[in-house]
Parts: sequence; structure tokens; C-alpha cells
Amino acid sequence: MELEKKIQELSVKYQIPEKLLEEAIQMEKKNLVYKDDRRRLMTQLEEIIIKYSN
Amino acid sequence: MTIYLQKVYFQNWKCYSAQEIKLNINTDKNIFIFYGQNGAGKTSIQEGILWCLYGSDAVPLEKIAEYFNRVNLKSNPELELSVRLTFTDREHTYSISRTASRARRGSTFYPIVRDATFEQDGISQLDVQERIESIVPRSCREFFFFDGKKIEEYAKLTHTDETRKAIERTLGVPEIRNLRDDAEGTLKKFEKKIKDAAKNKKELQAVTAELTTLKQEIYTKKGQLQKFREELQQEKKFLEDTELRATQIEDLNNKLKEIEVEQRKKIDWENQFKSLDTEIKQVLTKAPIYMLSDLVREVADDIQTKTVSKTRISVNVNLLQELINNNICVCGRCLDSDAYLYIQQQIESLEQAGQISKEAIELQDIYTDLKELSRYQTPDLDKLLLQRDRLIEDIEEVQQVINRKQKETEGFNRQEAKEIWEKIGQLKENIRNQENRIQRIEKERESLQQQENQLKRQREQLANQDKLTATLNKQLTLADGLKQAADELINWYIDNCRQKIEQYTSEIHRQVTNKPDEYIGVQVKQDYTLGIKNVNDDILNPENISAGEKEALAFAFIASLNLASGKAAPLMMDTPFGHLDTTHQKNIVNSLPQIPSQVIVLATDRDLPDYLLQDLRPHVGQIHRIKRLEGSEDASVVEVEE
Repeated sequence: MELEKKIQELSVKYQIPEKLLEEAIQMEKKNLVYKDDRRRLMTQLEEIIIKYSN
Repeated sequence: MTIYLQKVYFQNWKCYSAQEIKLNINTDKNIFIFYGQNGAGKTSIQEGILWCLYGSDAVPLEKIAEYFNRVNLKSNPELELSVRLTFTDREHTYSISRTASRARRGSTFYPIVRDATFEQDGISQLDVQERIESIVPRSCREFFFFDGKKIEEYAKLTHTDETRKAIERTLGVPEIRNLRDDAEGTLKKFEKKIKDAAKNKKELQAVTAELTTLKQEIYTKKGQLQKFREELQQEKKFLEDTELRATQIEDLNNKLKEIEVEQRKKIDWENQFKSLDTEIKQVLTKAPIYMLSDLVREVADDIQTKTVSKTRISVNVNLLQELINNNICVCGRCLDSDAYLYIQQQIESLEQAGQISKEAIELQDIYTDLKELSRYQTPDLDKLLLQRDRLIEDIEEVQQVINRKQKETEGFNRQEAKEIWEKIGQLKENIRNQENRIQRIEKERESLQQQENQLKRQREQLANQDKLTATLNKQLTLADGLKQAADELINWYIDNCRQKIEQYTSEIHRQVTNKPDEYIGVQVKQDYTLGIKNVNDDILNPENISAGEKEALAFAFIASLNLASGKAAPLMMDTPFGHLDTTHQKNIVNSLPQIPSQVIVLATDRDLPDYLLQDLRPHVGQIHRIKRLEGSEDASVVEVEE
């Protein structure tokens, strides 16, 4: 609940869609790997940004 | 999402030959108790579950060699052992299984552990370890599976990096931190894309290049700000510590002054003692006089009597001599020869009776001396001795005070006392300078950000002249916003989690502590170490509380992490309260129903006696009893008791 509120606040402050931030966090959670050389998720994040730019 | 342990199956695992344990999760009662005497096989259950989940990370290979069921091993040296766990989140069922076998090398056997398997709703999954991680992450397993000894580690003054990471993983910090890093990387990708697309557009290229430089400057300023803020924090902490030291030094300084006062007091008493001692010695020297004073007085009186009679004789002789000299009687007539002779004879007789004048003088002198002696007042020796004893006691006592204070002030030098205030002044000055520096850099950064916004608008205008660059600019703007949002989010998230676990830990601690009136809360510091707030708002170091209190604190912390994690994996406790006092035991047991996860307690009858179980019973799903099989060594079974 608090996190949702914060996401809303940040999306307004930095002028980005709320869903973009939510989806990015979910993507990170889903693909989290507990290793030091963790998997980089820039490609997935790029795709999400492109999706929300359309 | 709450995850429940539904079933455990052990085959040839330690004392369990073939044991299935089913937990009835179809009620709202979340607490499951396994009773067993020491050595019955409680820890084997926890160890088996951990091995199934985390393999050699939880139980080393050399231990596994010893864990094959000894009874069955006699008939089959190439025995296979396995542990299978079934979890459910009430939506899906997850089955994890791990197996080990014994291989022969010559005459010896060694264990071979196979990789775990993972099935979701009966369908085998490939990324086994990651799936297991999603149920109970390896690094935070200690917050879900722990025992009395392990619990002590969480009340320590400092945490290891590994523990800090485990705490952050439990709280879900790494994913937000990863988002920030990925957002930064993605932003750079978009910046490169727009740079490439603007190759033929000189003005757009120039603005993009300028923006890149500006961003770099802002980044540098942010780095400086962070560095200076950290330095400021350190300086403030240093000042705080120095002020604390200064207070201690003041205290020591005051003690030194007190020592001086005590020493003066001691010298004064020692002088009093010396004069009293001399007086007592004099009294003792004159003791015979005091002892003989009555006799002396009697002798003096006797002498006085003698002196008086001698004096009388002397007076009589003088009177008779006067009669002869005057030749007249007291009646006025002249003395006749008979009277004259008679008087003459009387005078001779009286003078013979006692050498009158010389002896009388001597007796008078003796009398005066004896009278003088008899006038001596007998001093109160008991009183003097008592005074001396009291002085000895007082001197000893003051010496003890001096010794104690000297020990307390050992190593303290007054130079430090002088220097520390100068140091505090210097530190305050440094802090003021650092705050001014931060203010200045913040202003510079704000100014740079204004320039950046202006350039962004300029770039937007230029980019919009072309469809491709317009799209790229839009994506870049989103990536930039996302990066900044992620930057802010991570700081907020960590702080928010810390506050949350501080609140949960405080609430649980108030329930479990045996001093609820004294301890009003728990402070969780930036590095997740703990402090206890008392009623005076002082923060107590957990190192200074009793072992039982430490464990109660650690339990509160672990339970709060479990709450804050949102994972609500099963919480398994192996004999966690056995050595606690009854108040802590009772408080912890009574707090278990507040934990939203499934709670599995492995206990002896002493850990969880009947009177504690009664309080818990309304929340208990099942009670199992672990029994040693009669006539067979190393063999146990688990039975449902109720």
C-alpha cells in the first residue's frame, strides 16, 4: 500500500506513467537472482520503456 | 502470500527409516508442535528440511556420509537416502526432493548427492534452485529456520556483511536496487541511440553532447554531495562520541577532585590518630598513678593527720617554752621551782616524742606531693581507645574510597581533559564548514539541473523535427524519469523497511520482554544492528543486557523480519526457549499466534511444558510426538498425538 502510494508520487514527480514504474519493479522481482553476478535486465527494461513511449 | 509446509517424507534419513509427516493445514490454526526428548530426532527433521532445500550449503557432504540410516545400512551398504518436501500457497503445490546414495571405492563408501528436483503442481521444473529461492531464499533461511543458539547471533552489536545482505534480501531490497542499476544502464543505451540518430543534425548533436556533459557534472555533484553528507554524518557521529567522551572525562576529572578531598580528609584523620595515640601512650605510662590514686590519697590523709599532731606538739612545746621564758604561769603567778622543773620535763618529753619541727616539715612536703598526685583525674581510656578504633576504621574506609576512585580514573590524564574541549570546538567548526559546503554544492546542482531542463526542452524541440529522433527522445525522457524515480525509490524503500522492522520489532519485543515497563522499544540502526530504548529514552547496547533478554530481542527481530518480508514462509524453531526464564518463555510462546506464517516448534517437554501449551492450544493445528523405537538403536518414528 505504502509502496503503491510512493510509486504514484514518484510517477507524478518524474513525469512517467505509473504503470511503467510498477511493471519495471515487477519485472525485477520476477527475474531476481540471488547471485553476485546477477542477471542484467536492461533489454527487458528497454522493451518496457518503448512500450510506454508509444 | 503465505507458504505452508504440507508434507515431509524422509527415507533412510538419519534415525528415520521411512517416515512421512503430514501437517494438517486445512484449518486456521498455524502452529504445529513436535515433541521429542533430547536425541529423539527433532534436529534431524530441521536438518533434513534444510538439506532438501539447500543441499551442501546447509549440510556438508562429509556429514551426509554419516546420515544414512544405520539400521538399514547394515543390510544394504549401498543405501539411498532422500528427503521430499511439499509446500503449498493454497493455489499451487510445490514438491522438492533431494537424494544421496553411497558409492563404493575399494572397501570404503562415499556419498554422492544428486541435484534437487522441483515440481509445481506435479510438473517438473528446470530452474530448481531459483524456484526454491522463491519459496525461502537461501540467504535468509536463518530467519525461518533457527534454534536457541542461532538466535543469539542476531542480538549482536555488529552484523556481518552476509547477515546484512540476508536481511536486505528478506526485505526485498535487492530487486529495487537492481531496478536503479538497470534503469541507469538503459538510460545510457537510449542516450547512445539518440546520439547515433543525431549524427547528421549538428544542432541536436551539440545539445545532446552538452546534455551529456551537463549530466556528467550533475552526476559528479551528486557524488560529491553524497560523499560530503556521509562525511558530515561521520563528523556528527564523531562529535557525538567525543561529547560522550568529554562527559566521561568530566566525570573522571570530578573523581580526581574527589580523590584530592578524600586524601586531605585522610591526612587530617591520620594526624588526629597520631595525637590520640600519643595521648593513649601517656595515659598508659601514668597508669600506675591512676591505679594507686586511692592509696595515695589515703597515705596523704594519714600524713596530714600525723602532721597535725606534730604541729600540735610543736605548738605545745612553744607554749611551755614561753611560760618558762616569761617565768609566769597562765594564772598570772610566778613559776615556782617545782612548776619550772615540771614544765622543763614536759618540754623534754614532748621533744623526745617526735623530732618535731624537722619531721613536720618533711611530712608536709610529702603530703603536698602526694596530694598533688592524688589530684590527677583518671582519664577515660575506653573512650580514647574507641576514638582511636573509629579513626582507624575511618582511615581504612577513606583509603578504600581512594583506591576505588583511583582504579576508576586509571589511565586518565588531565591533558586529555584539556584537549577534548578544544577537539569538540574544532569538530563543531568542521561540521559548520561541511554544512556550508553541502549548501553551496546543492545550489550549484540546482542551477545545473535548471540548465539541464532547459537543454532537454531544446533537445525535444530539435528532436521533434524528425520522427525517429522524436520517438527516441520520448523514450530517453521516460528512461531518464524512470532512473531518477528508481534512485529516489531505493533510498525511500530502505528507510521505510528499516522503520517498519523497527516498529514490528518494538511491538513484538514489548510482548516478549520480561521488563515491559522498562524497555519501551527497539531501535534498528542503518546497518540493522539493534538498540533497546528504555523509559528515559536512552538507547541500551544489547551487549549489556542479559543472555535471556538478548534472545528475547533477537526473537523479536527475527519475527519482525519474517513479518516485514511479506513472504511468510514457514518459521521452524528448534528448542528455542529451553534455557530462557519462565517469563521470557511464556511471553515468547504467547506471541507465536501473532506471527502470520505457519509456525513449527520442535521442543522437549521442558521447552514447552504443559502449562505453556495450554495457552497455545487454541492456535495449535497438530501435535506430533517423536518416539525412539524400543529395542532398536538409531530409530525413531513421528506420530500424530492430536
